[in-house]
Amino acid sequence: MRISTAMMAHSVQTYLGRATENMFKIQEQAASGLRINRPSDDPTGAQYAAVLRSAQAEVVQYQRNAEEGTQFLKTTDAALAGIVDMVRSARDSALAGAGNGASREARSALASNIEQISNAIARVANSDEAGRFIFGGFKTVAPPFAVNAGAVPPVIYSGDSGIMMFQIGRASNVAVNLPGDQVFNMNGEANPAMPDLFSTLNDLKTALLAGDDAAINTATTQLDDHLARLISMRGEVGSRQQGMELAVNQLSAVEFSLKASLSKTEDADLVKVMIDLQQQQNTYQATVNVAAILSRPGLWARLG
Amino acid sequence: MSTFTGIITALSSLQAHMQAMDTAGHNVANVNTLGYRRQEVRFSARGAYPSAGSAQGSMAELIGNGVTIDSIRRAQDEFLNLHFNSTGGELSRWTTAQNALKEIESIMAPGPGFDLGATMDKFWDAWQFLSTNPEDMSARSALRANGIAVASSFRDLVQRLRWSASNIDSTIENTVEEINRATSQIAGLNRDISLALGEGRQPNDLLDQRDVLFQRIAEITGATLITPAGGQPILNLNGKALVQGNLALELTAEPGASGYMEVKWADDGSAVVMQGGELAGKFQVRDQMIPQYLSQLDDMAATLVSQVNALHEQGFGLDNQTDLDFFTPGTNAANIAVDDAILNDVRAIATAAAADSPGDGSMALAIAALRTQPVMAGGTSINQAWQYLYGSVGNDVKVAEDYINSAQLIHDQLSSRQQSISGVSLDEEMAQMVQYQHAYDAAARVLTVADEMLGTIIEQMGVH
Repeated sequence: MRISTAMMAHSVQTYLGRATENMFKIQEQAASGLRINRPSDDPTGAQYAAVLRSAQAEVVQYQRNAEEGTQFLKTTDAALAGIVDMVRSARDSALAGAGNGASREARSALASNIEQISNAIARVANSDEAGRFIFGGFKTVAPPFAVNAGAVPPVIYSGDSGIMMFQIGRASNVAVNLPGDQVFNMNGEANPAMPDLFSTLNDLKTALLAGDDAAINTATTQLDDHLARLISMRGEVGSRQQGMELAVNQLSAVEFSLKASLSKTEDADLVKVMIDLQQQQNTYQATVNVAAILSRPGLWARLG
Repeated sequence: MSTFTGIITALSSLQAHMQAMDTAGHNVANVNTLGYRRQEVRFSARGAYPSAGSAQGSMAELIGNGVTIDSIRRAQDEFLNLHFNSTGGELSRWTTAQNALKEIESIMAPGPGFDLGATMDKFWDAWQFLSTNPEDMSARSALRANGIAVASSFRDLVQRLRWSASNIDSTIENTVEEINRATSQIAGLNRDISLALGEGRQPNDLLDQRDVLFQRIAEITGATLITPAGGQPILNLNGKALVQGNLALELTAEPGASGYMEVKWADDGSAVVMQGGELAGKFQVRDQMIPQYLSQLDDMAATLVSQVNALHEQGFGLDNQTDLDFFTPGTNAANIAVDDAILNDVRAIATAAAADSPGDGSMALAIAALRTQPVMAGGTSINQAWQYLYGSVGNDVKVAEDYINSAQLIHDQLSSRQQSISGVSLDEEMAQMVQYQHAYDAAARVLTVADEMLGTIIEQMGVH
């Protein structure tokens, strides 16, 4: 094929340009560590990476929710533990005050003890987790239990029956709280046939002061009922905590696998990049050398 | 045979070879001229004169009278030129489109984690966090901030895409002016070329200039050449003769119904449909692709607004307000904004399903769930619609790149072949100049000898 002068110059330009362009592309991969630096580098890969990123964000948020929920459940559990102990102690006092063995002074002391216990339970009932009252249902900004000293009912509940749901998975919403009316049977919410815990304790106190054995026994039976409910609720919280822990572990595993997929999709294989870069540099050098030879003057420099 | 035949023969060689030298010199001078086709000199022997007065024998007529230049031929291939122009038009079209698309790609995808998808993810995350802490003022403020970020991301994208389109637009007028200048130049060249051809002369350089202009017009508009038998080539655009003979039709650029520039024929105001070239590429991006991206963004924004609002209106804020919109209703990607009620007071953000339930985050949870729900018209989620748009912009750039690569390959091959046929090779011209110089020297020698021989007759014969 006949080669014109311009063709030689043009081919030098073209091949040098191509070699430089290839080197540039590889340099970019090496510098950014990414195989995909813009969607056009690999449109399907880029789209997949965007999907993975979004999924990652979702999972991380679920993890945060699960951690918060766990904290909430822990606080609830600790509160319930305290309440259970105090109810047991009240029951002991009731037993001690029943029957003919107790003197008037002793029963008076026991009654006073019951009152202390009731107030203490009311304080625990107003526990908060980072400023949110845990036993108020949805009414979390004000203390849900108000002690009404000397009156009936002895403690008024101003919360509601709201259940707070936390999302820890695309299709898993879990309840994290126990509304106070369920826990203490306020307004007969848990068991319409029975009074609330504070009324029971108040009745017990009155019965002890009056020395009314029958009333003491009724109150004691009610306390057993409350106790059973409280213990079962504690169990419920315990199993929710277990569920949360399982969810957290699973979310961790999912997050890890998403990270791995994302890396596989968009990260550059640095070893391969380095080798490619070396190759391209060699090609570039060879092209430059050939270009130098082609650019030497031809016949016109030799004649005349 | 005349007395001076020898001298005349030598003279013809001197003249012809001097002309050939000039042509070679012309080629060498134009080795880097764009569109220059090298010129080859065609020698032919001059026929023998019939001998004066002598018998019609066999010898006299066989002595020739030297050399003449038959023609100075332009080395080129018409068909190759046509093919080159059309691939040039294709290459130009896709290169223009890809440049514009790459700019759009960098607008849509500034980097992983900085695109609209990432901003939307943060928005959904903020709703999630709010659902677990609905009374928390800082969680509410964070949500409002993320809402503002999503809205301004949408508006920003729209603005930048529109700006890209108007950038393309601003170049149309200049391009049309360039076309008009070139076509009137071609018309002038056509006139000069026909005149010269009519006189039997070969206007090689004019032909070269015209070819360069044809090439440029093909690159800009994808116009094609039609050469009727025995006539001048007609430059054909969209079925109409852009240049025919001395007549060049003008094009104008006028704002059309869309507000963007349209190219029309100046004589009847009808629109020109570009078949290829830079303008076709520009129109493709400005009139098809950008509006497509904008409409997808509008769909996403409008769906986001209506879906979030539909849930938000049912919910109650910390201040027990209900029936409020989170985003200004009825907006799309160009004007989406967080509603004033929310901007003024974050307590108005509806998180609860009923009044007086500060700890109830169920409405916030429902809104957060929109992240994965198939609420778009196509049955995908809003996030998925974004991911699809993201991928398709990359795809559009890649497709343009692939077209460019294949068009470039063909174009380069054709260019090589054109150069091979028409390009000047300095080595070749040098070698030929040596040839011509030798012939010139030899002719001068012949002239000297003929002169000496005549001298013998004139000065020495019959002198006393």
